[in-house]
Amino acid sequence: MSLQAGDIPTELGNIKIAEEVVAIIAGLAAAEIEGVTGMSGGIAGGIAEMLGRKSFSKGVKVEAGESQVVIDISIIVKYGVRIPDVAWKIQEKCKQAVESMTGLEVKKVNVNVQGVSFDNVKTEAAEE
Amino acid sequence: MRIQERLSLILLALIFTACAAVLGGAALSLPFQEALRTSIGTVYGRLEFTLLAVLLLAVAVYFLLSAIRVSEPVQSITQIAALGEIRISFKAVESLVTRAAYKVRDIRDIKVRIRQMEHGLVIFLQALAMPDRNIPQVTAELQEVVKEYVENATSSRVAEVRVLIDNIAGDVVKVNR
Repeated sequence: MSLQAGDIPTELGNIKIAEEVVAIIAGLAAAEIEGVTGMSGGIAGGIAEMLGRKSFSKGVKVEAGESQVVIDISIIVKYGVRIPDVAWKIQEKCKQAVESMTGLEVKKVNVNVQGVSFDNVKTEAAEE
Repeated sequence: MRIQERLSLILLALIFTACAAVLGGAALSLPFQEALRTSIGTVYGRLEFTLLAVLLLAVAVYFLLSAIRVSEPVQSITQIAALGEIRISFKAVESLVTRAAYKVRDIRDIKVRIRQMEHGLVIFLQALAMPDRNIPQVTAELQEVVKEYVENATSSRVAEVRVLIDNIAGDVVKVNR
């Protein structure tokens, strides 16, 4: 995995943006979407979180091309939402956030729904 | 890491440690030649030790197979959207189905399996029914609730919902006796 997601050549030199930066931007954008309860980051992300490191890029994988990036996001959704709607919103928001902040072109945003969370549903049922 | 992988690794570590001790000891000319000779002498000509050899060979074959075997990809429903793929893992769909199925009151202990066929998703449900209920009525309701919920939540076609009621919920039956 290369460290740089993209090279943006300018007159004064190249601007390099690390993949981690793109991942954080995408992760934060995805987490803001209504219906997403968390990111599914596998074992490494889980260990980092247990050690007290809040990782904003958890569950986000960035594959870099020349000036294009492909983002893979793994999420857990809230029970009761329409999953494709949530996924579309994530795709749009991530693309927009990464493109406006980094100037890189986002070719694809692949969304993996890894699980469903029932936390809020339980409290609603208890209130009823 | 699964428990069997962990056990195999511990076993492998122990075997390696034993090999290292014997090799290291011999290279450093520690005086245990006699011990080695007597150990081999004990084993010599005793058929029951072939069992141990077969066991070790089986472990070796297991290691070899698990090293060669390609892990299965996570099964998921894939939808192509304009901006990229949307994959919903079967595990997520199973959670959805379980939750939706419990909306039907007369059902207990639901187990779910999912398979993707050409004509859509096939959902297998295994559950216990409550006693004194009309099972066809309950299962029909279950099928409807699950199909509707999954189609609505994932926008994927559910081709079939197959239900197996494999018993009647036990605790109430006991009270009746």
